[in-house]
Amino acid sequence: MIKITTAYDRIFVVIIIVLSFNFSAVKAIGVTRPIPYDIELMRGESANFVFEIQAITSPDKIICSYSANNLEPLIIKFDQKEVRIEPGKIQKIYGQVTVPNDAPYGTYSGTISVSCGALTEEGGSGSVVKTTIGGSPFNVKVVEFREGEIKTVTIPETKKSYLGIIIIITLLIIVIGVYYYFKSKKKS
Amino acid sequence: MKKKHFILILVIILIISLLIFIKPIRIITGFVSRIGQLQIGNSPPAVDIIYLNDQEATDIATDLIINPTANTTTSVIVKAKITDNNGNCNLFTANNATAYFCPGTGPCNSDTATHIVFMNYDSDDGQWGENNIYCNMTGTSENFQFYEINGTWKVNVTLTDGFSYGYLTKNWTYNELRSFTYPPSGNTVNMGVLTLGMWNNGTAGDLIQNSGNIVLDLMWNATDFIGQSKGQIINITGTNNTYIIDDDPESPDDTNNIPEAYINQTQKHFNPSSGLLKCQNVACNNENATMNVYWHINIPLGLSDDIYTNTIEIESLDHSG
Repeated sequence: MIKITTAYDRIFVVIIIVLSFNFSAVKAIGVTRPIPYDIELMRGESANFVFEIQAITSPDKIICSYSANNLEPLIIKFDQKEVRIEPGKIQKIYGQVTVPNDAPYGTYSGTISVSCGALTEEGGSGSVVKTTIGGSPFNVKVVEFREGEIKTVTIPETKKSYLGIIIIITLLIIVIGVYYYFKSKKKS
Repeated sequence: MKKKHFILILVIILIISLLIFIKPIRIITGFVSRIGQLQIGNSPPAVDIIYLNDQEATDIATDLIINPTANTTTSVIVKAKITDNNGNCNLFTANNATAYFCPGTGPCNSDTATHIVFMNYDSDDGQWGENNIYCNMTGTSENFQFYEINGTWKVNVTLTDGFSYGYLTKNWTYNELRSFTYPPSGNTVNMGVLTLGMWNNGTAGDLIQNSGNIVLDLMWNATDFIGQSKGQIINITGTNNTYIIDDDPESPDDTNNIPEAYINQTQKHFNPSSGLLKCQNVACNNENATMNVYWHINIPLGLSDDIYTNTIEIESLDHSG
C-alpha cells in the first residue's frame, strides 16, 4: 500500500480521471469535382456549374459551407451560402461564374473548397471534428471569341411557395364575406 | 418476150424480194416459265447510340460525367439503340450484346475492360419503329467503386446477330471525388482513460481511410480543450506541446512510419509520405490507403474533473507528390 506522507507526494498522486472525449466527427464527406470544370467564356458571360457534397457515411447531420479560391476577378456565386445535409444524403450545390467586362483574358485555374462540421445538440460534450475538402480544380478560360457553346448546367427551379397565394385568397374570401355580412345586416 | 415468161420472171423477183425483205413468220405454240430469284445477305447489326444512366455518350468525354460515391458504389446502367436491318433485333438476348468499360483512352475490348456487362433486349423499352429493325438493349446495373480511376473512360458496345458484328465506342468521364473517412465506424474517437501529469500513450487509435479516388495530403490543427462546466483550459499550444498525433501508440517515443506531429492551432502535415493513397479493393487493405491515428495528450496536474471539448480540423488537399 502506498503511503502518502508529504504534500509533494500528494501533488504527484496519479489522479486518474475519465475524460469523455467523444468526437462528434463528420466521419466522411465526399466532394466531387464541379461539372463542368473547364469553362470557356467571353467577358460579360456567365455559366452554371454543380458539384456534390456527399454525407453518405456521416452518422450526424452536417452543416457545410464552400468557397472558390484563386479565381479573382471572376465572380462566383453559390445558390446557398451554406447547406445542412442529413446523414446518408447527397446534396447538389449549384454555382454561377460570371466574367466581369474588364477581366483580363487568360485561363483562371482555381479550386472549390468545402468545409463541414457535425451539427450537434446544444450542450453536447466532446470534441468536434471539422473537415475541409479542398483542391477540387475549377478552370475558367476567358477568351475574346468563344469556340462552341457555353458549357453550363441547368439549375432546377426551386419549388414555388404557394403560401402567399393561399394567404391572399383567404384574405379575399374574408373581405368578401365581411362585406356581404354587413350588407345583409344593413338590409335587415 | 412472151407474156408467159414475163409473168414468170416477175413472180421470181417477187419471191426473191419476199425472201430478202420479209422476215419469216414463225408460229410458236406452248409457254416456258422461269423462277425469279434474289438473295438477301445478312446485314450486320449496328449500334447507333450508347447511353449511360440515360445520358448520351459522345466522342467528348466531358459530355457525360458520372460521379463516384464516397466509400461505396455508384451504379451505371448502359443502354444502346441498335439497328438490325434483318428485323430480328427483338430476338437478341444477353448472348448478343456486351458492353465493355475501359479506363483511359486506349483500345476498349474484352482484354482491356475492367467492367463487362451483358445486355438484353428490353421488352418494356425495347421496340421502337416497325418490323423489329430498331431496338433498345439494356445492361444489368454495374457497380463502380469509389476508388476506381477518375478521368476519361471508354464504353464499347459490341453486338452480334450470330453471323456478323457491329460495335460502337464512346467516351465518358468518371469524376474526381475527394473524400476521407474518419473514424471508420461510429462517430466516437475515444480518448479513453487519461492520467494527469504524464503522457498518455495508447489512447485513441483509429483508422483514417481514403474514400475517394484522389491521393490526399492531410493537414491537422486543433483548439485548446475547454472544461464545459468549470471553464478550465488544457492549453495545447503551451511550451509543453501537450497534444500529439501519431500513427503508433507510443509517446513521446515515435516507433512507426510517420513522424508524430505536435498539434496546435497551426496546420500540421500528418500522413504517409506517399499521401493517403486510393484504395485498391473494397477491403482497402493496400498500404497507405489507411493510416492509424493515435492521439496523445499530456494533461497537466491541477485540472478539475470535467468534460473538456475542443475542435479538431482536418483539411485534405491533393497530394503534392
